[in-house]
Amino acid sequence: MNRRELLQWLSRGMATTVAAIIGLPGIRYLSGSVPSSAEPVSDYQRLKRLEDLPIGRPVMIPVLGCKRDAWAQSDQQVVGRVWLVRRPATANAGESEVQAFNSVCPHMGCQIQAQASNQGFVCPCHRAAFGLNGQRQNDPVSQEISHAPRDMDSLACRVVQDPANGNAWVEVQLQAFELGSKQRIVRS
Amino acid sequence: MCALLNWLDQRLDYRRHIALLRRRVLPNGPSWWSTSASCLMWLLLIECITGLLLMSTYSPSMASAWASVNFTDQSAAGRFLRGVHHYSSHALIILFGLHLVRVVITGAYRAPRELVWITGLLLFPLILVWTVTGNPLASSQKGIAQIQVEGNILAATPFVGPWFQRILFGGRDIGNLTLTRLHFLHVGLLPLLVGGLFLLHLHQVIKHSSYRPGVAADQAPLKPLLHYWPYQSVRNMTMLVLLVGTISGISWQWGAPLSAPADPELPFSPRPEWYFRWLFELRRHFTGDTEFVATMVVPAAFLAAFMLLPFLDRLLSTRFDRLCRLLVVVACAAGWGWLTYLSFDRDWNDPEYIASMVEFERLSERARELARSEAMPVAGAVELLRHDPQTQGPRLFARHCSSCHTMTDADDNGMTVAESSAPNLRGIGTATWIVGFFDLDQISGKNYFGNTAFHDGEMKQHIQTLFAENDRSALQEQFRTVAVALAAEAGHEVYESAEAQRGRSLIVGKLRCTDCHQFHNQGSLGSAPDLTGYASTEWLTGLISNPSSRRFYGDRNDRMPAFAADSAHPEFNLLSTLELDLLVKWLTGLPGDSNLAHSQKANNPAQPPASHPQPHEVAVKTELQATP
Repeated sequence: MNRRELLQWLSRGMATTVAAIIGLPGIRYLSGSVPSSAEPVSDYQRLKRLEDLPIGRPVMIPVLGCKRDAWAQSDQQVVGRVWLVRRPATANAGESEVQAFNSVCPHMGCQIQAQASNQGFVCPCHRAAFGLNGQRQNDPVSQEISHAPRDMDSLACRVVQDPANGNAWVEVQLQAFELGSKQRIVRS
Repeated sequence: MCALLNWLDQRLDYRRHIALLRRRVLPNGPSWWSTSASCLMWLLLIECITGLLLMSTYSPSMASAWASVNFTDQSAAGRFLRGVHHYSSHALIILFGLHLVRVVITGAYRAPRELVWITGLLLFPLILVWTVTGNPLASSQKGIAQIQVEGNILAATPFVGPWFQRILFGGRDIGNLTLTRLHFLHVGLLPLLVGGLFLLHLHQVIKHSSYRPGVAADQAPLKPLLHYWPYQSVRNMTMLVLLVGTISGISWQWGAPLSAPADPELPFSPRPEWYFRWLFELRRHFTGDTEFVATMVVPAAFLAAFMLLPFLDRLLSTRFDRLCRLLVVVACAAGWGWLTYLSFDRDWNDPEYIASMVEFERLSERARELARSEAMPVAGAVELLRHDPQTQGPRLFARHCSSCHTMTDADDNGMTVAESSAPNLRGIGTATWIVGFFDLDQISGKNYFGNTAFHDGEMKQHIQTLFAENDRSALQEQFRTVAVALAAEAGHEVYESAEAQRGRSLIVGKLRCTDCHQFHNQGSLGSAPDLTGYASTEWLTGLISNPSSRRFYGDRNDRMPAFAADSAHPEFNLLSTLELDLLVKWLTGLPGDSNLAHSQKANNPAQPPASHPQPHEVAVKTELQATP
C-alpha cells in the first residue's frame, strides 16, 4: 500500500465513521421499542352483574384502565373491549355460564360486531363471521371461507358471588393476542 | 437590471442552460400526449406548496390533529388549500397511471432510456405511500381506520413486518406516535426520497430527450422538429390550466372531506381508497396462509415485471411489438378496472354497508356542526360526539330502553319495538304528551299504560270518575290546562304564565291529583309518582336511576329496571352518570343541570324549575290561599 492509497482509505474510513455516528443512533431512535400503549391487565376485572346480562344475546363491554400513549397517560380510558355471551343456565353444568371474547378480530385487528340477528359475530373489514361460541364460520351470505386465521380469542372469565351484597359478578381477564397467527400468542 | 443579469450569466452561465432546455426537441415533436409528464411535475409542486402552507396550522397529536384540520377548514382560504391538496393527490395518481400507459404504448422506455423508466416507475409506489401517510393525518375515523388495517397488513409481512410497523407507525397501536411518525414520513422523508428520485428522472429525461426511435443518433431528422419552447410548453400549460381549474373548482365548491374524529366506539367499516380497491378485492380470493400473495407478492411481481420491461421488450419481434405493448396495457387496465368494479359493486349491493356509511356520514356532519358551535374540548375532538345528546341519545335508548319503550310519532316513525310493554316516550313531559293521560282511550292504549300493569289502574279510574262527574268539554279544557302546568314543571312551557298558574290550582284543587300524587307541598309520596318537577331532567334522572324508589313507583313499579341505583359503585350501574345525563337530555330535548355534557346551549327553557325551588313553593302557596 502506498501513501496515496493509505490516505484514500483513511478518508473513506473517517467518512464512514462520521456517517455511523449520526446514522446508527438515528436508526436506533426510529426503531426503538415504544412503551406499550395499554398497561397489561393481568388481574380479573369486574365488568357486569350477571343479572344484567341478557341470555343468548352478545353484549359488548368496554374495559377501562390506565392508557399510556407515548408522552400522554390517562386513567379511566378504554383499553380493550370484551364481548360477553351468557348461556342459558341449563347448559353444561361444568362450563362457565358466561363466555368472554376479545372484540379484536384475529385477522387484521378490526372491531368485531354482533350480527344483526344476534346469532353470531361478524367483522366489518373482511366479513369474517363467528358463531356465538366464537368459532369461525363461513360467510353467512356467500359461504366464502373466513379470512380469520383462528377463532375469536376467548378470555378467562368467571362468575363470583360478592358476599357483601349477594350480587353475582362477571369478571374477565383482558389479554391481547398477536394478529394473523393460527395459534393464540399473548402479546408481550 | 440587464447589467445585473449579464453579471449573473457570466458566473452562472444560466442562459445557455435555459436555451438548451428550450431548444430541446421531443422524439416525435410537440404533442398533446406528452403533456402528462409536465402536468405531473407541476401537480407535484402544487402538492408541496399547498402542503407546506397547511403545515403552518397542523398539529400532529391525537388530541389536536382533527381540531387543527377543522380549524384550517374554518377559513375560506384554508378550506380551499386543503381541498386543492386533497384533490390534487387523486389527480396525481390518475395522471400518473395515464402517463405510464402512454410510455408503455409508445415504447418510450427503450434503450438508452431504461433509467428514465425505472426511476419513474419507482416514483409511483412512493407517491402512493405518500398519499397513504397523508390520509390519516387529520385523525379522522376514516383515515385512522384505514391506517390501522394498512399497518396490520404491513406487519403481516414475513420476518420484517413488525419491525417495519414499529418504524413507520411508532408501535402496534394507533396513538400519538403514529401521527408524529406519519407526519415525519409525509412532510420529511418521502418528499426527500421522491424529490431525489424525481431529479434523477428529470436528468435522464433531458439527457436522452433527443433520442428518436428508428433514427440513428447521428442521422439528421427527416423533418426538422419544433422546439420544446413554446410549442410543447403551450400545450403543457393548456392542460395544466384545465387540470388546476377543475381541481380548484371542486375544492372551492366542496373542500376536502373530513369525517368524524377517530373514535373506536363509532361504527365503521373501513375500506381502502379507490386506487387500492383492486388489492382489497384480490385478497378476498386469498385466505389464510396465502393472504400475503395478494398483499405482497402480486404488487411486488407487477412492479418487478414492469421494471424489467425495457429488457423483456428486446425479446419481442419488431413486427408485433406495438400490438404486444397495447395488449399488455389493455390487459392490465381491464384487470384493474374489473377488480375495482367488483369491489365497489359488492359494497353498493350490501344494504348493511350502505346503511353504516349513511349513518357515518350523518355522524361526521354532526361532528363538524358541533365543532363550529361548541368550544373544542382540551381532551380532543373525540369528546364532541361522546358528549352530544343528539348522537348518544338514540344509541343509549336503543341499547337500554327500546326493548320495552317505543319512541315514535303519530305516523309510527321512529324507534319501534316488536312487543312494546311501556309508554311511548316521544315528547315526554310536553303538554301534548301529558294530555294523552287524560284521554280514556289513550291512557289504556299502547302509547301510555295499555301494555303495563297500570292499564286499568287507579289513574284511569280517577279519570273515569272525573268524566262521570263533570261536563265533558269543560273538563277536557281543564285537563289541557293541567298538562300545560305539568309541562311547565320541566320547562317545556312558561312557568309563570296565567294558564300554568290555573293548572297548578286545578292539580291541588278541583281535580284532586294530590289525593295520590305529591305536588310541591301538597299531597304525599308513596302511592303515585311525584309531580313536582314532573319529567324534568332531574326527575327523569331520578326515575331512570331507580323507578322503585318511594318518590316514583315504589313497590308498584312494573318491570322497569333500576339503571343507576348503586351510588357506591357507579361503574357497575347499567348507565353511567354521563350516559344517564345524555339520555335524559335527548329524551326531553332540554339542557341538563349537570356540566357533564356541554351541548345544546341554544335550547334554553324559560325557567328551569329545579334550580329555583323557592319561588315554586311560594307560588303554590299563594294560589292555595286564593282558591277557596
